[in-house]
Amino acid sequence: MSVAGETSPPMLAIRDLQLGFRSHRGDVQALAGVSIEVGEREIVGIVGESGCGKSITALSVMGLLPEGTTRVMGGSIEFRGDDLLTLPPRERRQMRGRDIAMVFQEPMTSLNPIMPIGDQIAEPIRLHLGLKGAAVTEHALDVLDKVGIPRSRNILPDYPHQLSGGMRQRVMIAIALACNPSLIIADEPTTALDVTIQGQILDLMVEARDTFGTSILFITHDLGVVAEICDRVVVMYAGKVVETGRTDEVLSSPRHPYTQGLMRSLPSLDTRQERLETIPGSVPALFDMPRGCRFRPRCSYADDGCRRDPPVEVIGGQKVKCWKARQISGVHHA
Amino acid sequence: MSIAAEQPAVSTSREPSFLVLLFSRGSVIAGSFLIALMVLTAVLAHWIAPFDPNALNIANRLQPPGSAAHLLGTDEFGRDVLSRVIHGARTSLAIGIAIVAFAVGIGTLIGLVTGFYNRVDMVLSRIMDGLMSFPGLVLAIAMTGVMGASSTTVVLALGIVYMPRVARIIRSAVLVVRELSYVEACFALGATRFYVLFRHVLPNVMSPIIIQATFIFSYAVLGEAALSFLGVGVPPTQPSWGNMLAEARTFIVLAWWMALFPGLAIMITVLGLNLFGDGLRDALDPKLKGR
Repeated sequence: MSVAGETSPPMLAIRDLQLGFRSHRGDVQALAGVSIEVGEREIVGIVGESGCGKSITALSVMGLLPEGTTRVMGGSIEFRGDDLLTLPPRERRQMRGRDIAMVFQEPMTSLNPIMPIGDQIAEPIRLHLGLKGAAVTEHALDVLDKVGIPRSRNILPDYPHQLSGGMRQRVMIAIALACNPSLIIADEPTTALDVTIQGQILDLMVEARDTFGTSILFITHDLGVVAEICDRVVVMYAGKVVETGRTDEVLSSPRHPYTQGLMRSLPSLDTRQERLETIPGSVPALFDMPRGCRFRPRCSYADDGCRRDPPVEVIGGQKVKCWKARQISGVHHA
Repeated sequence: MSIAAEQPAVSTSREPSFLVLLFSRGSVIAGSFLIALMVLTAVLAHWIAPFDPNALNIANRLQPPGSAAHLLGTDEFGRDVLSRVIHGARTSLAIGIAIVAFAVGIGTLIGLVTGFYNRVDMVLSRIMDGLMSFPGLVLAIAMTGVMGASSTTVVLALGIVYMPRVARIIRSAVLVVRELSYVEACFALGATRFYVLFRHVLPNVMSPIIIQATFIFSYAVLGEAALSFLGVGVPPTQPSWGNMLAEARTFIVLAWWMALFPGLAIMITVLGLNLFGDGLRDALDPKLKGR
């Protein structure tokens, strides 16, 4: 396992990213100071409920935020030393697919239904590598081989609907790997797949990291997936990062009340439970955020002190954004 | 891996080809028969017409159908009605095709651009709304007034009248397609907007374009006939169904055949195009597939 060394600068550093949505109620803050780092050859997971800002974080790294409705209000996204937010659009476009690639959630709809998949794999190869003719096909076959699709020459003229969901996701990963990017952002790539296929796709992503040295930013709401492949995990809640740390540490001893809640609401095969535990309440609306700690209304530890912005506590290797982190940790270990 | 080995064979054998799907519909068969009839008539007009459509024969004027070798009778100048209907097919279909090419070509382009680029959408779509708010024929008559009556004017006028409808339908289809995740995935690969629009969005809105083309064709045949009937369409020297109807109006009591046969020709063409268009729409609609 390769964890970002303290000395080498991270490949991707999102620093204090603030992002607003324009709505009829005025601007609302979707991301309130998100900081995430991804090191070389590292797989980092972002976990959180729907609407916590994980996908929008990914899209802002890609530079694919919906125009007109979203606005970056502060912070920076550094990729190998360049601030992506200040790069001219043309250079940013050329980085997409070549340096940073993305794998989407729905393998059913992420491929053009009326274009043979061979042509779709060829697109980034033609675009970024400048290959032509037979060289493109050769390269496409190579990439398909790498993602474990045998007989790949026969598959090139096939249309997406002729492939199974798992095969389609392999093709998507092949397209992402085609130009050997340094970073792949995977937005819930296994959510729409069967559990058995899910495992194969996860293995494939780890393999991509091991063989090509690709870093992966893995977005998911599934803690099981995080446990399986991520070196580090970032837990997000309501547009903020609430806890980060090494996956084994965070999952074995979660410090933030929200992470603890997530862990408790996982079904367990060891103990027979009548009902799963849930976190009371629901995620606050963007235009109705509580002051101070955003998890306060749903937190059983909260008191008046939590109305102030919580500090980042460093406990062991974990960073926790909570007033009660030390107190809870004490309780937790008792 | 067995998934890879089985999948393509299974799915290809299960799906009939599009043409089989299309021609399994009665309406498509009937429609294509009528269209083929009209197209053949137009193409072979010189050989199958028994008389010169413009040959005057005053001695034989206003003959009823079936008399003296004139199967469908003669008009007020003794011209053979059958020959004029046959040659009229050339005019109507040629003008129809030109109007379809104009309206669908430009309409598709405008639809693609307005659906994809928010910045030009506001302006171009309001212009389209403006064009649509005019009654079509009045706009066409006004244009003829400015440009003079000719086949070109008819094509331009009706093309401009039908173009906004195509633009609007393509725009709404583009609005749906541009939100699909393969479009986003394509941007994530670093493709330019122009590339995504023409390589991915355009092929995915082809079916509404094709369906619109058949309906615009039938509107165009009707529109050309209406303009010619009003005397602002094709010049009277050229036999066209609309011109024939216009001339027949004066003699409707004396010579019903002068109005009936060009009218029937218009009806058969429009019916054929609509039957074909309906069947095509159903065959291209994924929700109705397999029915």
